Amino acid sequence: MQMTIDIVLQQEPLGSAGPETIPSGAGAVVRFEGRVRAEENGAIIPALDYEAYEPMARRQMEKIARELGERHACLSVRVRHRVGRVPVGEAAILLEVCARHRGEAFAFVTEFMNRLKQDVPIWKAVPK
Amino acid sequence: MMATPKLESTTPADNSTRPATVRLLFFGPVRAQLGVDHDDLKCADEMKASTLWPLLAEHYPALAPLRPTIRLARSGEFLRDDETIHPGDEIALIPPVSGG
Repeated sequence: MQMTIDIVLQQEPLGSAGPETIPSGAGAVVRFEGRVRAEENGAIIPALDYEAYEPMARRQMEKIARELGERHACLSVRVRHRVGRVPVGEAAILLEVCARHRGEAFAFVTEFMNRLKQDVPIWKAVPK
Repeated sequence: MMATPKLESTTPADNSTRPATVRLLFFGPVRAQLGVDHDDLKCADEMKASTLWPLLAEHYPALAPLRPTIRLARSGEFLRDDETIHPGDEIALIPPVSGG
């Protein structure tokens, strides 16, 4: 079964809804949220501004997902990443992976986040 | 053999429809440093990606401190140094990313 990939960059808050559809055969749903902390480089901040080179960011995330899917057989991947201002406490990224078993889902999530922080053209900055 | 890149074309183009610039896109710290999100660099001939760097250094000396960390990209993919850039290409300067 081919893994489905759903990637969106959006201004709006990500919300807390679970997966809209869970693939049949999924025994594991691993959901990661990366949230904006109140402290950045030792300073208290109210928010972070996220900027993306959106066409490339989507392309790179899809490429990473496909590469990881070759090694960790997952059923579906859903990525939501904020752009624009994200207040402290809100999620900047949601990554949700469905797989038959937890091992490949956890591995996928960990490696995807590591790759995202190396190769996906998204930048954060403290608002001025 | 690769032609030497030309920053400024001093002779009329032999084909007026042929682009003679490379569109540069700036993001994140690079955009903040330069104060603009894009620029057009005159370039009449194709060149290796590695050859673009001396031109960038000449035109944007403010980028010098960031140079070791910047990667080039085209059409959504990172460029290797030995890949060829053509007039008319859109080249993104990608500083270290910080998403997630």
